[in-house]
Amino acid sequence: MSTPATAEGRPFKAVGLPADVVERPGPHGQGSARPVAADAKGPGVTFDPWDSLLEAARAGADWAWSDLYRTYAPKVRGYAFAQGVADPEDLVGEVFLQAVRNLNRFTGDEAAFRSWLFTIVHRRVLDSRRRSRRRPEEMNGHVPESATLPAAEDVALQGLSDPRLLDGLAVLTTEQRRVLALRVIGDLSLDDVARILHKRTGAIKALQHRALQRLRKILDEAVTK
Amino acid sequence: MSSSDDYRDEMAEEHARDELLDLLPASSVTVDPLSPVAEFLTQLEALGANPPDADVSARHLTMLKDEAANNPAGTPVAQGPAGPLAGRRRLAFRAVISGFVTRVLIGTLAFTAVGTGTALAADRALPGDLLYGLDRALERVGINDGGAYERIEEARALVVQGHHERAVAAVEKAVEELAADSVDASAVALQGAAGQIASVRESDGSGYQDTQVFRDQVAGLLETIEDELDSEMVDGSRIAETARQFSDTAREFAAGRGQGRGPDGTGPPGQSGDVPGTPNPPPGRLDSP
Repeated sequence: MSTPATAEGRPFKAVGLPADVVERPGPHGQGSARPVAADAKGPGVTFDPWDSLLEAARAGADWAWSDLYRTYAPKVRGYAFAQGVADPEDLVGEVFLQAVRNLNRFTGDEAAFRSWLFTIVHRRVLDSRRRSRRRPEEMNGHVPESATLPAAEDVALQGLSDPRLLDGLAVLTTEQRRVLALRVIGDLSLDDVARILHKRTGAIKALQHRALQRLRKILDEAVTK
Repeated sequence: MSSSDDYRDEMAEEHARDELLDLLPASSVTVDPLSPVAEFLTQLEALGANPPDADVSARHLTMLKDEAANNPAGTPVAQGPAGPLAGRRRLAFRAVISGFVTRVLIGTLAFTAVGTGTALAADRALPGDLLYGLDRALERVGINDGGAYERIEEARALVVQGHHERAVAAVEKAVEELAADSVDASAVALQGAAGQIASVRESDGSGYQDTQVFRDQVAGLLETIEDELDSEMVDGSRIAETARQFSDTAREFAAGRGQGRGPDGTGPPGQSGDVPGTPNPPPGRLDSP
């Protein structure tokens, strides 16, 4: 099999330009402005669109944050959904706010940004799950029997409309679900997932392997029956 | 739709599945592109293609633009003065905000100011800032929801700015929040840890908080908590162990200073900034938290 496409990083959609650019109102919402290349540079001069986007985001440019949000919010929401977060959309807002605040601590290309962003996402999901575990106790005033109480994430997963997606996620362990979602939705390499989950790359490979094996066993067999 | 369109769509779908399966290398499990597993993976990928609801997106974008405009270059929010004055100011502010004013502010903000500059500014506030109490008050009613990570992020930001003593307050809050989220032995251990950290925070005046050892221990404590935050089941005893070492060091320092061992009263002779007394035992050697 080939190396994941994510290892090299996919070209980013945004068009970013070097410092000597002119600005014009862009198609990214009212009042936003997106840089447009000045012809003076001439052919053969290259620049990194990602760096320009990042620089603009750091400077607080509306269009840059709109681009980042439009590119990544669906992925963040999807990951939160797959992890059974009760309110994925709230989590998207929290994640992006933290990204705005902490962008000064980030350096790197688009693949590195994706990995950095999903580190925030993963942590927020863990926070959310810890909180959701606490809430039933607060509401009932007593400690529930954990063996009989469905996990909050399992309840949230019931909201998925597609039964096959729900079936697939339901047969995976939390860690297998996390690895597959980071790989498939987050578009992250094995190494990135390993870093985010604080595990060795080999362990991530093994989790992915077992997840696919389990899915094949359960889903494929269900069809042949 | 013509049959050739159908065929093209089918081919495009198959191609997309092949690409998706290529994303999952290093596995000896072969997946048939037409199998239910491939279909599951396609749907999983599609889950990440749906943007949040339009209204939610618009609200988020407004929020991000406000935040980015108020905080250009992603720099940490400007801080108030550090030191004991900041602590007293914080206490005074908390005393004020804990009563009627809090209820009025929360009520007002909950219905009118969510997503606006005030709530955002409060959410960005760090311990010691004027709006920090408001941030915490809003969090208690589910607005600007914080969580242990946010407290740790605050602590990190304060450490970067050199306000280690204020970072300790944020760490204490993080541990309190973790304790509230935990059950049984872990919760007890974390409550103990919060107490140990509070004892260090309250020990300013001994000079310990001006030492490099203090700064290193704050960094160590942050690292341990961050490490634990990455697991779903936080090991409270590990955090409690680190907090206990932190507290022991502060006590030893205070005792050493009381005996007047340092030339300037801040540590033993020749080791200014160092901690008097015996070195801390390695992790795992101490018993109860």
